[in-house]
Amino acid sequence: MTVCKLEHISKHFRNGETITPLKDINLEISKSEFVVIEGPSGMGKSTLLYVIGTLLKSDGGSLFIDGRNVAEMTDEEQTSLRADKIGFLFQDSNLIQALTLRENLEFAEKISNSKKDCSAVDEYLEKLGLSDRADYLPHQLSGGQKRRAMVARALIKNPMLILADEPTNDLDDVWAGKIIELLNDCCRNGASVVMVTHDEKWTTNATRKYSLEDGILVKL
Amino acid sequence: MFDLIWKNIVRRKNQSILTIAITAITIFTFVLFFGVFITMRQGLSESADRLGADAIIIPSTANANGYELLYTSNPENEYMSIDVMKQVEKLDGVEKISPQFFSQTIDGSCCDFGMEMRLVGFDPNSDFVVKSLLNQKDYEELTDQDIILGGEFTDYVGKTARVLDTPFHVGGELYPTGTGLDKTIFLKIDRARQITKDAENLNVLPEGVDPSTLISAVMVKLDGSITPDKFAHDFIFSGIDAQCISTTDTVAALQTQLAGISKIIFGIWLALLAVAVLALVGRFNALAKDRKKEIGLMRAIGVQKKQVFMLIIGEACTMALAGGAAGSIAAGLCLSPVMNMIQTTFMLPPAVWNIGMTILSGVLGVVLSLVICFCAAINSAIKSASLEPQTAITQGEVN
Repeated sequence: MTVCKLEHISKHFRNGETITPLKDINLEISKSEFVVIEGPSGMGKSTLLYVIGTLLKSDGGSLFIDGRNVAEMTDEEQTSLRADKIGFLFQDSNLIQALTLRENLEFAEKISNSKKDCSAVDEYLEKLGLSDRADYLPHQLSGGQKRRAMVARALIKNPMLILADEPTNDLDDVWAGKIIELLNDCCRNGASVVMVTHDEKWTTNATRKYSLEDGILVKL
Repeated sequence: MFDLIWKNIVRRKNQSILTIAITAITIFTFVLFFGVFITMRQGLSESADRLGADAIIIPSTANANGYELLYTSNPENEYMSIDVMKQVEKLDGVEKISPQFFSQTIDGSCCDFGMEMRLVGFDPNSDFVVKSLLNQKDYEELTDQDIILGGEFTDYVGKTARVLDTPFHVGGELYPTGTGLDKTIFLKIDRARQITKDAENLNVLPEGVDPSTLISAVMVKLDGSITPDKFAHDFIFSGIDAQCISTTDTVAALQTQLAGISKIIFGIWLALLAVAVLALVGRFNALAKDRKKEIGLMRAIGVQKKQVFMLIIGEACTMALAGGAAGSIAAGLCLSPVMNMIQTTFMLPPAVWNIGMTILSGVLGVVLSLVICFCAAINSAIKSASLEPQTAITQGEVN
């Protein structure tokens, strides 16, 4: 079953000169796949994730998520799609500053329409070693704790598609390994993962690997 | 979303306090100026409505103190012969006249009222000034043992009050006027003359003169065939040894004063309002800019545009409510002393500031604060809601 499909996707940025980080990208991601995109910094890996996540419009081509053409969806529908079916792990630490760690997770859970019998907040706090920091505000957390909190926020709504941009940043090897294992668990439970990384160490469990070079996706 | 609005306000204390303070100061200024302005207008309007005398004749040696003379004689022991009344009565256009006799200013220790006051005698039979200010409908004719109290004395009607060691029955109270009338005790003119004569330490009456032949002022009501100004002008050439004050001049002077003060108040208020609105626009823009990345994140994880809009507007309105309420309450507390100061300085007649007016100005203040904050925040709210999530995340300030 295809979760996400990119057909001839291209993207340009005009800032004095024209930069084309994505050129005719074709990619199909099936259920339970763990796709890794490697490559040096600044090559457009994050841009590709933003396009897949409907955060950035492509300049050409088509994007299908869960069988629907994103270009034909309204902004409201795209926002609902992100709330319900896509879990983001951003490169930078990014939490709502006025909410505690627990409240950040509850907020993400509430926004999602996926109905659950009970809240998974405590379960994820426990899994990511954050139970004792649950009532801390983001500015009271370390970089690694924030990173783990973002993982919890992305996974708590059981998304269909997880987009992870350098998820092991700010983490020691122990916690980085645990995060990768969590992502693998998600795949085993039916989610698909697209992970961008420059560190090959964390790509061993990938179903497929790609490299983005000069805007072209190359299968490794 | 309401939970997030509340937490954004409470947990970003410094930013919220600054925004609420700007709003509170704006509303404080508005309510204060609004209250003073309305009260002054109301006071003047009420004074004009109750104005009984068109002109006042006072001794030529007396000080003509504009607004004070609308209702009573000057609080000074200057007298003229009662014959002046007969002369004035014969002048063209006179409908009614009524004499007054200023007895003395007495301090609070001699009486039950505990404040400085004036004793003024009037003639209840011919009076048309004091009666028009009485706030009791069932007023009965005064006896020698009755007194009428000015607007600053309250809850004495029907009781017995001691004045200069003599018990009097309080027959009525007057509406407040914002003038010396409010601190005046009226009694029958003969009784006032007697008190002045008997006062051992006063010695204000000319030696050997019977006080029953003296008066301090003649209140004149015209029949409409002549204007107060024309009457006052003609009086100069009447040969009567007294001076005539037209109340038209007094009211006109008050209105001119009020108009000038109103313009100043309005100008200052408008300037302050403009500064406050600009400051709030700046505040909300800064708040939105500071949180650009966060708003991008919220959009990215599934918060709708309208929810972002509601978040910014909701925060603005909540802070507006807090600032508006604080400003209104503070202004309500300051209004009375400020009005007293203005009254003393400008000799203006403020009306009574009642609870209804306080509630009205408070509600207006809160509504205004909501409107101001809404207008100041709308641009930021629209901009924030329209942010492209990716742009906001990558270009926003790092928190």
